[in-house]
Parts: sequence; C-alpha cells; structure tokens
Amino acid sequence: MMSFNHFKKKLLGIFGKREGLLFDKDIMHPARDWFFVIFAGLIFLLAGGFWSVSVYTQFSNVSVTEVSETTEGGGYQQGLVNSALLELDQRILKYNNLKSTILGNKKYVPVPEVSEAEASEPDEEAVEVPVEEEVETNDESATPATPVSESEIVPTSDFF
Amino acid sequence: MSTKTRKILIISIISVLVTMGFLGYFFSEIRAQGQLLEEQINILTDNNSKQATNARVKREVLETSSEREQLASSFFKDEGDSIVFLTEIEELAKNSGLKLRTETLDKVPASDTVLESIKVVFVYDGPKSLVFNFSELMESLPYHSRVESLNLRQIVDNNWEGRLTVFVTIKSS
Repeated sequence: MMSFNHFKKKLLGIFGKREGLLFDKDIMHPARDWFFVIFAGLIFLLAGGFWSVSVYTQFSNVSVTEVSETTEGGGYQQGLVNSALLELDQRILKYNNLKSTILGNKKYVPVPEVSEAEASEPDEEAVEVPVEEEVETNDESATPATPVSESEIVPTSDFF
Repeated sequence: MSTKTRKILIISIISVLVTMGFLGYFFSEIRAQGQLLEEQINILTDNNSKQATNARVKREVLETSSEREQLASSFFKDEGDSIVFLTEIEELAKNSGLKLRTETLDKVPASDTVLESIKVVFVYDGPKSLVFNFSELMESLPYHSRVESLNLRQIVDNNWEGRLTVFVTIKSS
C-alpha cells in the first residue's frame, strides 16, 4: 500500500530539483529528439516528393502543337458565292442571247431558271408589264445592223 | 544548461531557420517559374493558332481570287463605268433600230438598306418585239442591278414605247 509520503516523494522526483543528475532530460532527450527530427524530416521529404511529382506531371505533358482555329468557317461563304456566280452566269447567257436576238443574229433561246440562284439573291423587282419570252428573229423591225459574236462578251467592267 | 549545450541549440535553430528559408525560396521560385511557363505556353499556343488561321486565310484568298474577281466585275467600280455602260447601251439600241434616250443618270447615295448605285432612266421606242426584248435585256444586265420600274405603252400600231428605270450597284474594290 502506497502512502501519501510515497506519492509526494515520487512527484518531487519528477517536478522537484534535479540535483545529482548528469543532464536535464527536459531540455535534451537523445531518443526523443532523434525521433522527432527524423519524423519531421520524413514528413518534409514526403511532402516535397509529392509536390515535385505533381509539378512534374503538370508540366511533363505540355504540348504547344495543339492548334485551335477559332475562326473556322466564319469567313468565306462558298455556297453563297457559288449561288451568286451561278446567277451571274445565267444573266450573262441570257443577256448574250437577247443581245443576239435584238441584233438579229439568231433566235432567242430562253434560259432555264434555277431556283437556287433565285432564292439566294432576288435582286430584280417585278415589272408592271410582262415581257414576251420568245420572239421571231425574222421580225421586220429587228434590223441586224452590227452583228456581235458571243466571243467578245466577257463579264468584266468593260462587258459591253 | 551548459554553455556548450546552448551553443549547439542556437546553431541548430539557426541551421533549421536557414534551411527553411532556402526551402521556402526554392518553393516560391519553382511556383513562379511554373506560372511563367504556363503563360509562355498559352502565348505560344495563341501564336500557333494565329499562324494557322493566317495561313488558312491566305490560302483561301489565293484559291478564291478568280471567283471574287468575277463577282467584283458584276459591280460598277466607279461612276466612270456608267459612261461606258451608257455608251454601249446606246450603241446597241442604235444598231438594233431602237430610238433610245437617257432621261436620267443619277448617283444614288448609300442608305441603311441600299448600297450606293447609279440610277438610269431609259426611254425607248420602236417595234413591239424589239421594245419587249430590249426591256428583257435590261432586266438581265450582267451587273448587280435591279429594274425599279418598267412602263410599256402602245404609241401606234406596232410601235411601242418603253420607260425603264434601272439601278446598278457601285462597289469600289
């Protein structure tokens, strides 16, 4: 049975003056300090390694060859251009036919209409009086004064 | 605590602080270099993208030059083209036997809905078929044009008169 005096003696042994000891274990404890330092170093090492690996993986797969063309398909409208060119060609053909007819070279052949071209660029308004689509070339009034060949017709500003 | 112990303690603390300082410096330096690398990569990617777009546009310009020129030819480039146009139309009418006079030749300024254009009013008379064919020819001008109005009336038996207003668009290149 432990008495009060025995406890007091033990507590004094712990918290009391350390007279007679070779060193103070509160300040320097080799086993504790070694364990603490090695543990802390290990933590630092693992954290640093983890961070290094994450940085490496972040930048190891960097590629600058990827090209993102953000303006793809936003500029030139090929379909609209083709439609306009088709209508222009038809107008040129019709114009040449009518010109030849007026100058008495040949009979006017109506140009078949293309709905796509009409739908894309309807730039002519309806006239008040419909115009005949076919005219006899041997009309007495259609005087063939200066025959014009089709080869001289080119779609430029000097078209006429 | 002995003097030697205190010295060792102080040296240890200083060593730890210096080591921590170096580690912190290295850490911040690596982060800064990483951010710089990311920015440079973004700039390089943008640059590559612009170069690719530029190359594509150049290729498109070269490939489409002929059709764009063809389209551009369907517009009056300036008012001078209208003189050539009038001369040719008058020559055509003269050669075909039509009496033609140009009543109006105006430049119409551009508005919100209409491009700048040349307004021409022709008055012509002659045989019916010729007047009708000429009217249709004016509707089929190989230009970006529109016929605003066309009035046809019979003067005498087979003699008709036409009055046609046509707009031809001007588009300077």
